[in-house]
Amino acid sequence: MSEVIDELVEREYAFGFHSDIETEYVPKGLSEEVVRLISAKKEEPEWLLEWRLAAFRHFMTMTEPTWGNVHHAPIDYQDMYYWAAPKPKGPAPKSLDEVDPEIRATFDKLGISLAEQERLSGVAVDAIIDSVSVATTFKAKLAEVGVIFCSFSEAVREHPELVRAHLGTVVPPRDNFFAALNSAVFSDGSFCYIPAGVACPMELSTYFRINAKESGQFERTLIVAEEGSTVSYLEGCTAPMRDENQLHAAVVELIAKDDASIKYSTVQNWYPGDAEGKGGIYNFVTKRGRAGARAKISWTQVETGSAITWKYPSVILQGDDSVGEFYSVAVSTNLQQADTGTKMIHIGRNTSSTIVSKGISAGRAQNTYRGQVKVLRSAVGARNHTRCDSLLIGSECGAHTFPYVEVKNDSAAVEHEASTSKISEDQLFYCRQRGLTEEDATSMIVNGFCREVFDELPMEYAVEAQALMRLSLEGAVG
Amino acid sequence: MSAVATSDADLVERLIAGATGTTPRAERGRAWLAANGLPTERDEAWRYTPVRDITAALATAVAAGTEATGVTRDLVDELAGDLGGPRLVLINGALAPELSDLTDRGAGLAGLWVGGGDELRARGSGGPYTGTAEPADGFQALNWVAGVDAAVVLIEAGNAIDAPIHVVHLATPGQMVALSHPRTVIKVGAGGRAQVVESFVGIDATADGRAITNSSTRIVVDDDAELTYQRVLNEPDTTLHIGRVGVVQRTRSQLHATAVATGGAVVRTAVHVNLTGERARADLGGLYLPTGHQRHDNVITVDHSASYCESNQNFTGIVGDHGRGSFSGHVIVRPGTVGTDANQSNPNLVLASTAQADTRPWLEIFADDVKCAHGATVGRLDEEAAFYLRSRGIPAAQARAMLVAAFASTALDRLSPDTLRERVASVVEVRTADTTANLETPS
Repeated sequence: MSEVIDELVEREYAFGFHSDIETEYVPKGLSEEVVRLISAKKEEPEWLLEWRLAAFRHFMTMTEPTWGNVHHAPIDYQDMYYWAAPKPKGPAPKSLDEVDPEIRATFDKLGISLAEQERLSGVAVDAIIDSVSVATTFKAKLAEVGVIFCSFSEAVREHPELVRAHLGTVVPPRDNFFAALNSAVFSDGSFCYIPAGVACPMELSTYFRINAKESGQFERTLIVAEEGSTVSYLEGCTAPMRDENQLHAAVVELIAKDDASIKYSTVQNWYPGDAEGKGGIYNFVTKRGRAGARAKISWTQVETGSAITWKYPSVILQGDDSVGEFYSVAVSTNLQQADTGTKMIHIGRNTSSTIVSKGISAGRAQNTYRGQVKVLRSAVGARNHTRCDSLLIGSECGAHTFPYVEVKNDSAAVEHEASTSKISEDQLFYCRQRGLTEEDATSMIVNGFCREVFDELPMEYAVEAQALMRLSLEGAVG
Repeated sequence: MSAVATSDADLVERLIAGATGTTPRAERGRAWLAANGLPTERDEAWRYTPVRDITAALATAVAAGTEATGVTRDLVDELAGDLGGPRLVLINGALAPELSDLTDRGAGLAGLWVGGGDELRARGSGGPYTGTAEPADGFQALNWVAGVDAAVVLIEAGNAIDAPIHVVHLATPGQMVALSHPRTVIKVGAGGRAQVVESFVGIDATADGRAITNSSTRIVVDDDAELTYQRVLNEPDTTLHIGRVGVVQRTRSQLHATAVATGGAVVRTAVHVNLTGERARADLGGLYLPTGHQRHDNVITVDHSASYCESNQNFTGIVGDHGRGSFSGHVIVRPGTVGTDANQSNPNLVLASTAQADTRPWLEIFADDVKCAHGATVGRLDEEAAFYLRSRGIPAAQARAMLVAAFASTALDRLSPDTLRERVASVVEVRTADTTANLETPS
């Protein structure tokens, strides 16, 4: 058994390579000048610059939150780059063929060849290397039904009225420390608009990729689903190996208008740092959705990467009969720290929410579920069911569950249940006496433990997630 | 810890101005207060306690007098009951020997010492407080600094005391906002066994007078000892009560603790159990029942710092009218421990659309050989069950009262002796009758 653990501990980060793309930097540090420079480089309209500056000024009055169950060396916000973009070699690419071959090769190494995906999988990929979208596929096909799926900067140029009407309405720039930071310096991201009554004909996907050394990445995603529309959005990440810690502070805003449905799936596999906890991504993300009447927002996440994960995808159930869902698998090994969960704010009548959270801790990792279910007085007939389970692998790891349930309405029915345990010896024994190796048995049990969540993932992600899980936990069982 | 607000520092200064305690514990409390001050609602453990209301009331508070003027045995019997065993009565935190029934109560009390802290200190034993622990929060520090006496219950090693030992804390605010700091120390020696009931009651305040009770109870259950501890909080609806129970359990010790809160304007019950010896077992339960505009907050922590320990938390909340009931359960399993079994359960019944229930069942686990589970629910009365009862000819109001009583019974059945259970059950019945009568009849 121990050699398997050793193997795991020594396992190199499979996606830890660094491609040489010339990067264009804005000087290190954060100041009003930097904010103006970023805005200028992106040729943004005046209102957006003002918006950034307001966020920046507010950010300067805030202090970093300390309530998270994560510990790290202080982050020096002045000692990092807030802008890094792949240097264009000539005019912007008009098709995949024109994309920088280096970038193409990077994606190939990650196994997400755009060409392959374009031809075979029917998934539109808005791939992001560092801060600027380099290629968007299937745009024409989406345009046919009126779906807008483009990079954030493009959306600001092409559809300023849509961006302006929705930006910051779910996660206001002053929402929290990291959201304010993001609002001030966000580099790029994805924008997605589904017109009323349209069911998006394909699953939309973005691959995030941190590439340039010491560049924090501040993505901003905005998805607007008009009345009666439906969309499924996939987000996945891998990042190359680094020694310095890298900061990632993204903001994702979802707006599901009446009768709309948004499904947002994430597979997060940022570089987690080495076995000694050196390096790795600090992932401080604000994700929130607002659901109108009869609308549905569903978050599914598989979190295996990052040295620190600080992330609480939430749903504001504003409209009557709206539905919020949160399905999460968070795996932490070595010295990773994950503090993740959700917030369900019930405002409308007969709103319902479901939370399923599975935390897996191995090595010396700390895994925390932190969730809030809030039922306001107006939320007559609100329902919530929360299930959060933790699995511990090894005696030096920790699993913590910090739920908050606040109910201000007598017609609400709220249930919370949770359990924490190690893998049952009985289950292991049973599998082994059926001829499975300990490792296969463990993998099988862990996959069973996570099944409820994997079932929520789109097909191609479910496969990736299972592989990722196996890779992350390989042999970590004794 | 949050920084001390200037106004708070002044407040603390004023509250401890008259305190003359010079014990090491009082000194530690003083130092702690100077450094940290009183908690605020921004402190996680105080999130659901209306600290601002308490500090606002403290602004005009004076130290409660300790004379038993006007308090008779009959009054104590009426408010707290007579359980038949030894009874210690404290008025605003000071022992009232003339109202107490000490060791003259019945036979079988060998090995029991009951009395005041000052009395114990006078006997040269060094006083009831030993150890070098720091205060858990500003209010406990305040208690250490400004408390006047303590109720002490000592059970010598190897002795089993069958009669229930009753500690009654009576608050008599008179015309003022009167602050008192009742203290209780309970020690059960190795292999000993005892049952202690701690009652907090008060005399209905006059128009201007109200009591602020800042209590601290310290319990040590030594190796192989067993303690049944019951805490009954039934103070007048104007009282603010900040209470803390700190328990240390040694090897193979057992604790069965129950806390029932029915009275008070604000009642905070913080219980902290440290399982320091292997195979210790803590079974904690209780009921809180805020109606009217009451706030009941329960902060229950069990710290598994030794292996093979078992703990249960089973707290029931019933909230009515504009009441708000909160439960913050916290199980900590320390690194390096094995064989831990911990459970938490917090069902809540909401009787009115204006009532509020909060629950935070927390698990903080640093070891893998554990079996931990928690469950919490918030909901209203089961309409189907009410319908079933009504279909059997039981009037709606009575059917609802029966269901509420059934919901409360898990907690009430923990109480003993029977006289205590009946006493508390009747209070619960009266309190919930008021709220269930207000419920609309289902259409």
